[in-house]
Amino acid sequence: MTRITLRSVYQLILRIHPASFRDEFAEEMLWIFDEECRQGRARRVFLDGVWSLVRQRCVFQRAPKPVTAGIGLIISDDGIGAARLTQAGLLISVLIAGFLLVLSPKSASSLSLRWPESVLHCTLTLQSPPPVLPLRVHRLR
Amino acid sequence: MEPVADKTPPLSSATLHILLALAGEDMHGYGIIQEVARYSEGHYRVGPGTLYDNLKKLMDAGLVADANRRANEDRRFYTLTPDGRNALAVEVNRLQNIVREARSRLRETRPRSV
Repeated sequence: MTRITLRSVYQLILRIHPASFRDEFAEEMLWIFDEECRQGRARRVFLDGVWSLVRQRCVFQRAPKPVTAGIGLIISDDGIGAARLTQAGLLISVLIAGFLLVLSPKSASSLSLRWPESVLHCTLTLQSPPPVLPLRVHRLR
Repeated sequence: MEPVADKTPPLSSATLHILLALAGEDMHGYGIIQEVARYSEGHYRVGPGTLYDNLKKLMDAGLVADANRRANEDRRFYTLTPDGRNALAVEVNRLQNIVREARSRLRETRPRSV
């Protein structure tokens, strides 16, 4: 895939970000994308952009003003709705599918998707309690 | 001055690295990414989405602020506020305690005789 195509898709991703975030940081993000592309880190930055979009659209924008004491790490405790999760899943799938489609077959086969650490972190900070499974005790006879 | 510890939760690794990079000097976004990659010897590299997402939260929380624009620089620079420096110091203290505890436990642990 040419760098120009990937850049266009990345620009599209930035355009879908919430306006407040986009107005403040999109230009700088695109600049960093260009710099990272020159060093062959386009895929990683691309996936980071997709994940940033999901976070901005589905999690943090939904939460009320973050608690200052939490340094922005606390997400509202009312959880994420199923519709939002589905929307996010669909969005990610479409973007990744588009990304893979425009890749050449050779590079597509060798592509390894490595999610950034932030993905794992955000998953851990959702603070939704784990489902409580009913405990069954089987008596041995 | 001793950092004022309050009941803040631990910082995420991205947040910690951003604050740490800014503790040395004011930087623009790409400078932060490069600085983090440099001192972590390439093991940790913040993506721009993660960076600005965290920077926005840190700015909202008053831990990072816009630095005065430098001459001949059209990029936006970020600086650590006194509150940000304090938050970093609290986190470093917390990590020091963990390391101390870990060292102590490792010394105590003896291999089991089979």
